[in-house]
Amino acid sequence: MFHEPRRVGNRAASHAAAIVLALLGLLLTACASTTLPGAAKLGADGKAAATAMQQAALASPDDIQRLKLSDAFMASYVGPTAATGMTQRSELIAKIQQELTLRAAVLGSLANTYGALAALASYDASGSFNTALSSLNTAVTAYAKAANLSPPPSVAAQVPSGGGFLASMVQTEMVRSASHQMVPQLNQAIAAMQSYEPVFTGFKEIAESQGGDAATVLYSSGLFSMSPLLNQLGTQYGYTASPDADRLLGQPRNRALRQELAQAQASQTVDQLKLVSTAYDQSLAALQKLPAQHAALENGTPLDLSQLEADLTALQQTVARLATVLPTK
Amino acid sequence: MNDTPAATTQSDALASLKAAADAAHATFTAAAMIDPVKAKPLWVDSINVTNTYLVALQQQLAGAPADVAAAKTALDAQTQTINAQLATLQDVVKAIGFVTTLVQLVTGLAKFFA
Repeated sequence: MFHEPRRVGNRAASHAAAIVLALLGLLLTACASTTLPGAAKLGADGKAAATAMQQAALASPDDIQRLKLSDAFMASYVGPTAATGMTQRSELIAKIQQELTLRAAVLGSLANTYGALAALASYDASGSFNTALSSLNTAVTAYAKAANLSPPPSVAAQVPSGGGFLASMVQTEMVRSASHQMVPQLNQAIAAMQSYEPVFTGFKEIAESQGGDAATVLYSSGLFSMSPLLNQLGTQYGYTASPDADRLLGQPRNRALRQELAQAQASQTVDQLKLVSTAYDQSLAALQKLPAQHAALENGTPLDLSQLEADLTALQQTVARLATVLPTK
Repeated sequence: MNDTPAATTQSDALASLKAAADAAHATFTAAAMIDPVKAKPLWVDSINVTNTYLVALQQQLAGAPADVAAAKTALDAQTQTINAQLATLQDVVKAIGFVTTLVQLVTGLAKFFA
């Protein structure tokens, strides 16, 4: 009997602790229920934005290969007077490609890190995330050095491995820590792309338009048919190219027509390049919306990915339109 | 009314050099459609103008401001070369018709840097 009040007191304290723990658990579960799905979605959208930016930024290997093939022909066709200029252009293109590849590597690593963030929201993927973040830091550092910029902050503080008591709480904290460490790298990646649109698209335009020089010479020499372009102009209206079309176009009196057809062909390249530029701007707009969503994630407030996803949808439409533009050479 | 000319920014300079490269290349393409053999020197010219643009572009990527003065000097010389070559290709120039506009554009861009 003597010990009864103490036992009652202990029981009350124990109940209170259980209630506090239950409330804490509910609170943490509620927090995790916001943070973890948000992180998964942010990871998926961030990966899509970074991948799109990477694709929009680089001249395609096909463009560069076409340019090299055209140059090989033109070097032989034009002769030694072209040698000095061509050598200089080859060296410049190699240097520019190297610079652009460093930026593309940043975006590739950023996409991987977002993929790892999405995984981290589902299970303890801290090892994969740390590896991805470290690779991103290496890529950003290499780019910053080449672009004569300050290096990014180091990522020495790694995301700890989770598990154990209240795993969802630990996981939520892991995701927040991961997000926090990503943001400085993300900002560097955005800085690497913004205000460089004329640089990226200008280089792509040069590779695209000058890669067609050999084709221009060969067409003008009568070795290519203009029938595909004629058909493109006329099919919708029920016309097809005459079998004599190329012979007729070769006649001196039709020089003006040849010129006009060359202009029509060139305008297709212009349309394509406008879409490339649009895709670049849309990708950058999507990337620029990511830091605010990281802040929301870290503050535990609901994410609003609607604008970012609208950018990605518009980007997909641009890419689809780009795919419908016929190759011009 | 503000008569102060706008300052030449790096992006303005780069855009103008790109337009010059496009104009030189369009001149070659137009001439090649008429006479690809006679257009050969214009191709060399278009490569040289392109190189002037690519030098500035590479400088910007490397974090250094484009050397606009050097680009202007190079572009002036290249414009004179293109004009001199077009003067020897009167039959081609006559057939092209619109090349005058392109030459004016190249000349105008050179003035941009003055």
